[in-house]
Amino acid sequence: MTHQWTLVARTVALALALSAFGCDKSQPPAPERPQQAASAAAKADNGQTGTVQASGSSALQPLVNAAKEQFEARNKGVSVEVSAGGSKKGLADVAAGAVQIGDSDIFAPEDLKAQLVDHRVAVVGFAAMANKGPFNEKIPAITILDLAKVFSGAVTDWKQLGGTAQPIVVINRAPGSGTRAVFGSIVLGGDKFVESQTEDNSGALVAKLKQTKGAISYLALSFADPELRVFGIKSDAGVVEPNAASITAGTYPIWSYEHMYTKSQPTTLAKQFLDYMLSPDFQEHTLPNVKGFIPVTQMKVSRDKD
Amino acid sequence: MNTATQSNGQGALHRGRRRGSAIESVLLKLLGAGSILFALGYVVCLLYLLIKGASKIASFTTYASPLAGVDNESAMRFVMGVCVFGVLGWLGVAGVRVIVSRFGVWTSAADRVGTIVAVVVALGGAVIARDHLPRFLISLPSETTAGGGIGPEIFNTVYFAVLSTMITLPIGVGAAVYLARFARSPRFVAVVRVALDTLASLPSIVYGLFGFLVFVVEMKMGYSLFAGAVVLALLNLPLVVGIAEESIVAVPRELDEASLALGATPIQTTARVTLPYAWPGILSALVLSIGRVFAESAPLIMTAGTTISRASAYSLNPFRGGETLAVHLWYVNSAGLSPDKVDVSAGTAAMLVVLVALTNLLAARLARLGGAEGTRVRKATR
Amino acid sequence: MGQSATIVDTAETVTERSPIVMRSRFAEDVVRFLLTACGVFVVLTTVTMIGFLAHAGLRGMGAVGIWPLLTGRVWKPEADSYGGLALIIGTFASASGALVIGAVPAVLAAVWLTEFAPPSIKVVERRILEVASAIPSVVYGWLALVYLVPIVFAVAHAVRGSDAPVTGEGLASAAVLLGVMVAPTVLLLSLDSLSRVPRALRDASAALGASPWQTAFRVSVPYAWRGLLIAVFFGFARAAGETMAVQMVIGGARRLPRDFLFSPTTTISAQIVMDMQEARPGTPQNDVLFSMALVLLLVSVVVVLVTRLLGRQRLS
Repeated sequence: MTHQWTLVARTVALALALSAFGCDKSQPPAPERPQQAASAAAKADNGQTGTVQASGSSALQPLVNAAKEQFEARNKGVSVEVSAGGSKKGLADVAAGAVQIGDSDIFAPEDLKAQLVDHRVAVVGFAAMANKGPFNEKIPAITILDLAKVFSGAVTDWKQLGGTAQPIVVINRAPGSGTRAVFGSIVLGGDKFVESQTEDNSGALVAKLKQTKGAISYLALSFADPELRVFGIKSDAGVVEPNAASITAGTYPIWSYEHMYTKSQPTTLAKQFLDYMLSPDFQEHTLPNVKGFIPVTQMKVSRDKD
Repeated sequence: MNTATQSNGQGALHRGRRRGSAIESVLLKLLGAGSILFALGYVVCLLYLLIKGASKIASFTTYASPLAGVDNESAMRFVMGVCVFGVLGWLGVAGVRVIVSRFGVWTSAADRVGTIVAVVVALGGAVIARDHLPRFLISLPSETTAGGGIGPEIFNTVYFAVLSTMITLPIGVGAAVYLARFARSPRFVAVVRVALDTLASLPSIVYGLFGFLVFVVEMKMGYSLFAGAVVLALLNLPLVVGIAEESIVAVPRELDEASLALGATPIQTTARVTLPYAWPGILSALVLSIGRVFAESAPLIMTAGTTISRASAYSLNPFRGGETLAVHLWYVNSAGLSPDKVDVSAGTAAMLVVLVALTNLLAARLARLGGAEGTRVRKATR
Repeated sequence: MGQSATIVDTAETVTERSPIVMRSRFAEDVVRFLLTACGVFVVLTTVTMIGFLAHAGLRGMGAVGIWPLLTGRVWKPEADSYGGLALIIGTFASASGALVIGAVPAVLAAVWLTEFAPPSIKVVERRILEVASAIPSVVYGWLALVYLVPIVFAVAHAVRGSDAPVTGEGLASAAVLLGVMVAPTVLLLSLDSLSRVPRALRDASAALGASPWQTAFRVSVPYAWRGLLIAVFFGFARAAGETMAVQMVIGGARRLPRDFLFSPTTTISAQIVMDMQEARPGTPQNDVLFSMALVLLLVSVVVVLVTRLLGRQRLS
């Protein structure tokens, strides 16, 4: 038994000794809560405690996290729990009562609409992004029809789009993803994607796109990366690049509202959190700083359904 | 084969001349090399994991890590400090013991002194260095930014082990005692055994589905640790009942009969004679079940959720949700957006390996203390 | 027995009226009741779980039809198409691959350890593999995601051509991952069954002039073959039921793989977990997931039955 303990001791000691090289001499991290709140609205702290649970869209997650940090700073006893899992999971969770707020990129389906209340907190644009290579150098933009052909599997090679010969590798999002639903309904007229590998984690998807030759997928603009080729939409009127200006003007078609659904009678805390996210303070000061999100008020076009 | 050995009578003794023996020895060497490589592969993987994760875990901060303003955080830091410095102290003492045993004699008095030194180092270090602990082990996780830690996850993992053992222990040991000693009808015993076999063969997602429907949806509890603990207890029930029953059956009948002859009731016999004798085996079953608690993730995703909330990160309320280390490892890789997720994953995985190894060592140590041998060993080492 | 019964009876009647004994009598009955309740609880829980699984699962099977569920090729819940063939093939292929890559080498290694290895190596290797078998599966899954998938990606492109539409995720990665995961457990179970071979048998074989190799493979292994087979089956069941780790490396494409080894596909348990996140209780989508869980349960039950059959015949 002594032999065994010393064996273990030696192993662990070795590991720790090697890890001493990782001694943390870096700068102290920035304070975890912004001590100087963006505005003097710190008076919102009225000693409430409780939890707000939200789940759903990963596209909305960066924005909800930004709101969560501010909200928790102002209400010290409150905690906001946000988890991802996809828009459809968010809708299912909020309808089943597992969470109070369901984040979704898509409108709630008909059978759930009656029991849920919609709060639109932002607008997000989506674009087709692909692995950058010599095969698609000459293709800055694609028509919606061609995009539909690529993602439904009708077009399988970049040369059919005007580039050089290279097979197209389609990477899809998970079936529960709101990004997939939005992209599908606007570009393909439904979920008509060719069945291929799915990667739902946006970070991992970006990494995969960079690494796989000829790969193409669709992401929220918050994840646009200079090492990827982001396609604009080509139409008879010319090429429309995906950016805030074209989305608000309505010339770039692939966008959706970010919905935060609650059950008809949300809890007080959930309501407060949503009120904060819809407040001018958040929409004008914090939201523009989070990459890829557009305030709803700036939109010159609107939609009732996907 | 027989004809070969007979006609080649002397060949049976001189193996080198037997037909096929050259091939055999080559194959033997290959098989041996293969087996050793097999085990070495696991060792290399695990050590690599430990080293990669240890640099994340063990990076002590040279500056004071700010409190995150979470309830019970100082208590958690103290406990974590005790563990960390306890391990360091124990390692030091073990090292000293190895050196001293090489050159001299290590007496039991020295043993006691060593233990005291380790305890003092643990407590002292925890108090002094409370604000300089490894940042990874006490900070909250982060969904989208770098620098997240696994403090609440470690707490939840240990809390789950405690909660589910609290449920498994009475029911599992109770069922085992019933099956081994008090069952009246053989048919009912057969039914219970079939039930246990069935429970053991259910895939773990089924437990998750069950827990989700019953606790999260029907009882409207939302994601909660309680639901997860019940599900894990059910998962471990066959294992615990099986091993506990084995241990109880292994108790010599003479002991029970002697106790009954002295006038004790069957219950008194069980409680004061049988169970203490079988206790090390039962304890090792519980420790194995704790190892399983650390390892499960699918049932917990559906019942306890995947979130950590600031207000209840270290709270003892079992009706709040929370993720464990295994769930965190999965979640960070499938839905996490933080840029340092490879490091965080390595640290989480290393922490899991450390916890599992400790649990295993504990189980091995306890299993050796079973039966009459165990009583003697325990008395001798007191 | 008769005489001692009367003694006990007399003793009982004498002490019955003592208040201490009356109280402990009551306590005794209460404790007995509680213990029986534990046994009943186990049965009740099993019945409830199987009942609830069967209720929803059979409802799903009724809605879709058993044959289309098992042999349909298109799994698209959002389009109300529930063809589980890809899932079933994915599960079986990855579990069988795990057997070849992990279980068989594990059995061979167990044979070597028991018959040929020096005892110290056996003890050390056993300890190592006990720890390895207790490591959570997500850890293996993560290691596979970060290190194995890129290697398989490179191998796939080397084997099929650098422009071929192959990926690192798929059945090859899943089989290797599952093999590595079940191998320690299979090895430990095989060690147990090989250690039950009576020493006399080995000695007799050696006395007859057999080499250690011949003793091992013509005497010990045939003696223990049932236990070894049980170990392998157990590995198969565990590999088939594995959820989260496989989900990380299998790719998640709900179709039969285009390239058998190197194309993304899915398994039953991975798909259940992915779809369960958004399916609403009571809808056909949800019920069909339970039906697929029933299919998985069937696999486990078959394995348990075979194990019992094999185990029962070992009455030597």
